[in-house]
Amino acid sequence: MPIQTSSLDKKKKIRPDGPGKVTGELKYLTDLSFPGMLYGKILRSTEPHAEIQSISTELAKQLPGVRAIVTYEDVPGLNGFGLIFPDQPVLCEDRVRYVGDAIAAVAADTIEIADEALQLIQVVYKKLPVIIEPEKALHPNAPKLHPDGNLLHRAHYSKGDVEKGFELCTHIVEGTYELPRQMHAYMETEGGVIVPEVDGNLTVYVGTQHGFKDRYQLARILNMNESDIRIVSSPMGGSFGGKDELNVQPYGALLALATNCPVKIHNTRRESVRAGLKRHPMKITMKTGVDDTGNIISHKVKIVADTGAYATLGPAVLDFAVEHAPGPYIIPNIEIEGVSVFTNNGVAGEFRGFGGNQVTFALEGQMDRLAERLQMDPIEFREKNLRQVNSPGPLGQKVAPTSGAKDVLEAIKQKLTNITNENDSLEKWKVTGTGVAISIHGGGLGAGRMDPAGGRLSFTSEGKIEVAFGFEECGQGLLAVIETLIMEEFHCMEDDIHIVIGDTDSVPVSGSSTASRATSMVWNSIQRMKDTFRSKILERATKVTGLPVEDLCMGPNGIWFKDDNLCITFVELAEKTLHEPFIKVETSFDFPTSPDAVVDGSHFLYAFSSVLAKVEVDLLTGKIKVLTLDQAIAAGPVVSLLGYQGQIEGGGIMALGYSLMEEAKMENGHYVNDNFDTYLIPTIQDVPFVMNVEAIEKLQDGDIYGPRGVGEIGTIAVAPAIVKAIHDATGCWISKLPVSREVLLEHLSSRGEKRWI
Amino acid sequence: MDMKEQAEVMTPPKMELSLTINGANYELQVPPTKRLVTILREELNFTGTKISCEVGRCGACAVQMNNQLVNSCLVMAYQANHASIITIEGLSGEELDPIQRVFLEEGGFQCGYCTPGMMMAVHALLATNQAPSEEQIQEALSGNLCRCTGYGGIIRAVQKAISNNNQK
Amino acid sequence: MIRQGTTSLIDTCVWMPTSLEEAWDLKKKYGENAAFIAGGTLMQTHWAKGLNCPSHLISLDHMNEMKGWGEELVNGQTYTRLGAGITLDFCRQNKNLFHPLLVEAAKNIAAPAVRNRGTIGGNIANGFGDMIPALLAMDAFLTLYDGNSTHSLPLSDYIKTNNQSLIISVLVPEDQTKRFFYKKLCHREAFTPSVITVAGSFNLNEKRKLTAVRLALSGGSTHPQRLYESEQLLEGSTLTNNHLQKVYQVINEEFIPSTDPFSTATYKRLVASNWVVSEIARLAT
Ligand SMILES: Cc1cc2nc3c(=O)[nH]c(=O)nc-3n(C[C@H](O)[C@H](O)[C@H](O)COP(=O)(O)OP(=O)(O)OC[C@H]3O[C@@H](n4cnc5c(N)ncnc54)[C@H](O)[C@@H]3O)c2cc1C
Ligand code: FES
Ligand code: FES
Repeated sequence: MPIQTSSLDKKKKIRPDGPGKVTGELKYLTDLSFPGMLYGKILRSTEPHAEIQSISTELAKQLPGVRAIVTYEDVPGLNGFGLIFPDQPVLCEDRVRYVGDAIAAVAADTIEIADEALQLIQVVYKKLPVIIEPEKALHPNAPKLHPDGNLLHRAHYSKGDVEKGFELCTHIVEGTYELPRQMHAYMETEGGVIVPEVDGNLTVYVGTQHGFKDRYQLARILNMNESDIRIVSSPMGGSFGGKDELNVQPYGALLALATNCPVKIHNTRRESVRAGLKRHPMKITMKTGVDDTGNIISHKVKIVADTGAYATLGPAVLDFAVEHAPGPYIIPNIEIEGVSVFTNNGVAGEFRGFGGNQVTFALEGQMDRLAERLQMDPIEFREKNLRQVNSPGPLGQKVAPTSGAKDVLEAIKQKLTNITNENDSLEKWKVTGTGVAISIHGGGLGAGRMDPAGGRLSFTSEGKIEVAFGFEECGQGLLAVIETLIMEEFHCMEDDIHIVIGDTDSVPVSGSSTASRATSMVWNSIQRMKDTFRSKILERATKVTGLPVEDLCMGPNGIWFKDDNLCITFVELAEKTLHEPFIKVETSFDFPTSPDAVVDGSHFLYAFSSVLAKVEVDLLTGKIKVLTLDQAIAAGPVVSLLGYQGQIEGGGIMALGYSLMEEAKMENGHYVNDNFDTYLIPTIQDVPFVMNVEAIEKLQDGDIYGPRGVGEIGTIAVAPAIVKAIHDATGCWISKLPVSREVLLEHLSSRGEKRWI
Repeated sequence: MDMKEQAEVMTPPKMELSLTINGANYELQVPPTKRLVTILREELNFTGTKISCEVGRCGACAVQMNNQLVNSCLVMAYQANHASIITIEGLSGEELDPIQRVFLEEGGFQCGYCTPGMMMAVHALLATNQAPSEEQIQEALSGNLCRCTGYGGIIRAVQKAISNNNQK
Repeated sequence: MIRQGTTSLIDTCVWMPTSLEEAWDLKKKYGENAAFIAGGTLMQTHWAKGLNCPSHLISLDHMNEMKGWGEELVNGQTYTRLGAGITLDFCRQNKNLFHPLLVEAAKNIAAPAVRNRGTIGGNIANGFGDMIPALLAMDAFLTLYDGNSTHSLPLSDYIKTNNQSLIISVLVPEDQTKRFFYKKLCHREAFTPSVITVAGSFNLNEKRKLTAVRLALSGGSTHPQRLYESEQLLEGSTLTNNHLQKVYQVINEEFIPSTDPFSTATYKRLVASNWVVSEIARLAT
């Protein structure tokens, strides 16, 4: 059943965590302090690739105020971590593979002492050849970064016969698209406090996107029982995928155990950049052919991803990119080959969009170039090849029927006609252009992956409806989603609800707060629990009031009689039934997956987006200003209006940065830009003053899956739309991000001398 | 030790720092080069002021010093001596400041980490200009990075604050 | 306390001299171990990047000579005097006090919170500030103190040497007749170091010829430069498309920018030539 969308007011309501955020009262985990707290610092490699010949901590240990120094020798359990397989050493013993590799960690009375201690630790390296290019890493003679070589993962899909297909084509476009390493640039860097409890347990106050997974990984490292570790993982000052993997937790934990004191670690921006995950740089080659009427016949794709030194979610990101390479189009002959390759660059891993951004940039670029070859309107060309309601998924798998692709394209077509496409710039040296792109994006972890979800509803002794989920609030507005859905379902008030998230000691297993899945899973959980919960509450109310259960319903502050009379408040009900067993309803289930998927990770539920970009290009500098960035999204019903709009606009601007300015450059394995002075993200001056988001809420009849998440979809189709708009303005095709002004200016200069006056 | 009107060393390692924060007086012994952000967050537990880049490039640490917006990561103790500081904790009294209210209503934040600094910047803008233009809004907030919102909600919040002002 | 760098700032002394002599003596006494500091905005970013903070900081905050602004008559010409301690934001906010070219330059520097602390003196003294091209285009002078005397020096000479004097004030000729332009290119719209900054000014006489042409350029890692040859080429000329194309080529040869990890020198030259020529064409027609 789709959620009601009648009460817009409620949907635009103030978020539960809002007041704490605007007053500064909310304590982020990096704001916490505890009595006797020490400060931790992590020594990271100065070399992108080297053998460690010796590590000496003697001098550092003698520094007054230093309380503990840990190295690989002090890791009681497995000296490794990684969401898929634990190939990243917690503390390196004999080899470093990137400049973020940790070698030692120090706990001291102050940050300054800890810093000074780091400088006193002597590490002798023997430099090894640094591999910075995936192509070179795959060469048989390249030094092996891991026992199995430098290929992390290969993913493949094919159908039909692409080579035969190309023979039937009248136009073939082949292009290589290059995508940069992007930083998450969450404003709060990684950090928090790790507290050893008197009973020997450990409480970890550090943001993450999956508390239970952190607990699992930490238990393995510390050789502790999972049940002896508690992870408090919310709130966070942004994550965007970047805090899903472990970051400072193992070091804080080792130091806390070594000193028996709370230890705070809060990365500086530079430390965060050096150690943290990034978006995978990819090189994507696509060869796509059409017949003379514009039907796509054949599509051949090669993806090379630079995954950096360790695996983390690299394999899954590649799978996702491979899956989305055909996009929302119906293509009879497909061959996709992807490789994810180890190098000595920074580790690439999970990042909002999850490989979809890269491959969609290439795919939509192909679509626009093909339309040009065909001299066909690019929207018409897309329409012609677009998936239908019951079409299979990109890899031929059965998916939930959806008209999303058609709907978003239709919506953006409307917007496009509303915007004039003439050169309306008044300035002599500026031209404008528009571009449109669309995307498809799978939700959930996908077929063949453990993807459990669940939640819990209970009625507390204080008379609150307690909702518990094992999700985290990274800023995305999860709390508002939960609150809104509960209020809609039970017609209760904010005060009647108590939300519990982000604490492994008190929440059920819900899976990760990633992959655009949390909103969707909250809705689904509530659907599964609501009837049981409601009837239990009402039964109890009947018992207390003696009124017939069929005349009772839940409403603001309590139980209502015949809809118009509050007959008992929740608080009274709780007080009067203290002796009764606790009302508690739980559910657990798996994220829906395709029944016949042949490729691991392929999806069942998809969301769609379309983007209209209008840009102004400065002919004297090649500078690009985005004037319009409107999106239409088909992701099912809107749960929280501000949250939805914020995700799409915020995602859109993150992608604007990706398109025009963001690149974490590495030179020989070292980061060139390691803070916001040189790594540039959009400021308020870089964004269109007004952005429009259109939510297409429609679901197919019989769709039981409810709202799809919108955490990622707003980032996907922005870059290709901007690049098409640049082409529209200048005739120049860009295939490398961020768009180089130099390349553009060179192209513009080749048109000959200017008429200055 | 007070600030001497002559060439006198503010002896290492400490100076006597005297400043007002949100109307209350504080006296403390700190190294003269200690950053205001550290003093606020770590010595005095005003954790509403955030820290993100530590080089003046993000605005998360923005506070008002003598009625001017400054990055507290770029102010050293000796520069804040005898100054009056307003942090996010000092923006609202019993009730929320109108700027806080519009940020809530219009979705001017998500993770909220940029929000204290952002609201201090909005406050500094509206204190001197009741009806800023689009360009003035953008200029005034250009030193405050937000990674979550794409600034859409922030712009709508500021516009609402302005129109609320005008209706008064 | 700045966490990066090898010296912990805890040990740094801050001196608060109240006269130029005192400041100078302190600097002489501690030599390499001391530095003058105004707003400190730039110096702190340097320390954060790992440069050592000196163990003695000599604050210029109490230097009365560096405060305020006013008018000054020198050799029959009126100048606006800007104390070196004036903040960039004060300059930005006071259109009525300062020449629009200076206001425009200040507007293009950093963001309000940094401008509230950063000074004009610090901007010039660091050698790369974005005020410099604007001031060069205006034929500004500096008043300097070198331990012996206070004297003035054209900014165009100051930038040629590694002058260690204290900057007391900037003198900008009051000239409202000149046409001028100021442009700064960043890797995004605002709040970034300059890729390249250009400023220029000239008069257009009654015969529509250009006179008193000044062209100045700088950029993040590019030293400020006056383009004397290009100025010469424009001086006394009437604008035609052909002539401008020639100017375009000369600028392209004369301007020597640096290559940095984010932009090549070739690109910077192209933009510089494009900007100067298009702005002159715009302002002269
Ligand atoms: C986030 C951020 C953004 C910035 N953006 C820009 C920008 O866009 N454009 C730009 O030009 N700059 C920029 N800067 C650099 C800097 O803020 C400005 O150049 C500012 O004007 C420096 O002034 P200050 O008083 O803070 O100098 P300080 O940091 O105090 O000093 C800088 C140097 O000048 C010397 N000095 C200072 N005053 C004098 C004097 N009176 N006589 C002799 N020597 C003196 C100091 O010894 C030091 O070597 C930025 C800085 C930050 C932190
Ligand atoms: S932390 Fe001060 S401006 Fe970023
Ligand atoms: S709300 Fe997260 S950075 Fe602005």
